[in-house]
Amino acid sequence: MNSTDQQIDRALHALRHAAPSDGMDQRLLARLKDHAATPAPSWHPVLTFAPPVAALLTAALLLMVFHHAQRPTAPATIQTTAQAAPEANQATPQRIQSPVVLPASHTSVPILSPSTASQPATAAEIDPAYLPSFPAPEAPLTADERRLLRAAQHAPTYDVAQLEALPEPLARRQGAVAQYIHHMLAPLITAESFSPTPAVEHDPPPLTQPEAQSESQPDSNSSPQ
Amino acid sequence: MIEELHLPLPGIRTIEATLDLPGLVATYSTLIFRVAHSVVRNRAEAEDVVQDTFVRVIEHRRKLPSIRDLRVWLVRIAWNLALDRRRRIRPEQMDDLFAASLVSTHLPADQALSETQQAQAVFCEMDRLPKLERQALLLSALEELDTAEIARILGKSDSAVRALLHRARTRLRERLKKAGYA
Repeated sequence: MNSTDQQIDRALHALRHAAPSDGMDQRLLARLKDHAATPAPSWHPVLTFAPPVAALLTAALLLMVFHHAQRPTAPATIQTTAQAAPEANQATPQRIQSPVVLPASHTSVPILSPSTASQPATAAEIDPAYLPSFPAPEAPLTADERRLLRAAQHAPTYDVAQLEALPEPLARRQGAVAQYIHHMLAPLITAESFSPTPAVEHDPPPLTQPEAQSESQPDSNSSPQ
Repeated sequence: MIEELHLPLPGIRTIEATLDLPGLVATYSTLIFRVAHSVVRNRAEAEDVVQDTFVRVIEHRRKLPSIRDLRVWLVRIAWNLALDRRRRIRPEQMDDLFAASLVSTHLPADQALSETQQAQAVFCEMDRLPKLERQALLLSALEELDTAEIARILGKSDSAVRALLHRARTRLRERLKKAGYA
């Protein structure tokens, strides 16, 4: 065995016989007593946080549903297909059932009952003449409709096709000018209606140029008389 | 009928009663200390590793009945904890005092200094060995562990452990010769 192996064995021997200091067991037991007194965790750390997270998610969901239910909506008047189909089969189509007024929370989708949904309604059974009509409620006029109405009232000579291109202030200004001109010309039109002026025939202007030419330039062709 | 069907399930107190902490400390503290000391080469640090190991035992006391080889399990925990602790301390802090303690006090000063430097070189080269070779070599130094237990700790076969030990000694010898400590 050479000196290198001796060095290695000496180092390993020193590690093999390393001894702890005296009283290590007592010190360890004294320090570990506090750890042993604490209860062992009975839940996985992920499962420990699961109930609070689930409670928070449930509360958020309930809050969202409650907030959605309290949103102000107008009560809708709808007639379901389940009510309309039997009426079409009845012999007296004039007897129309009054529409059902549902609360605000039931305004989303008309619901078909399973019994009605399973019965197919042919085109002959449902005559459109007997079905009640439900026109859409009157909606406020759009900007184009208001512009068209104003043009029809005040400026009848407007080209309707230009309304889309004209901005509203320009159209209003042109309408005001036309109204002003119409107001200024109104007395003249009235006076004209009482004493109409004779029509003046505008003759074409005399042709002076050829006469001037004939005066200045004696006609060489004309014979002296 | 209901009382007959009732099976006594082990409760928390029953499981805690099975943890004989003083018995575990008395049985395994010296082994764990030597495992930790072979890594950190410092008595105070090794004692802290022993304490941390038993803290882990307390934290996992519900698993203790399902552990097949408690000795191997404890050595693995101590080894990993010692490696973690060793990353936080400087190598000079480990080797100086321990290497000096290996040298006989009856030697002259110059000879004691030379032997201390040789011991430090051996430990330094041990630390530079590949991970498995170093672990096999250091665990083989502990007389409490035989080759079969080292094989279970490393998760290798007995022959693989013997091969690791042979390669570790050969590599260490070559490096020491190359460094001029032959």
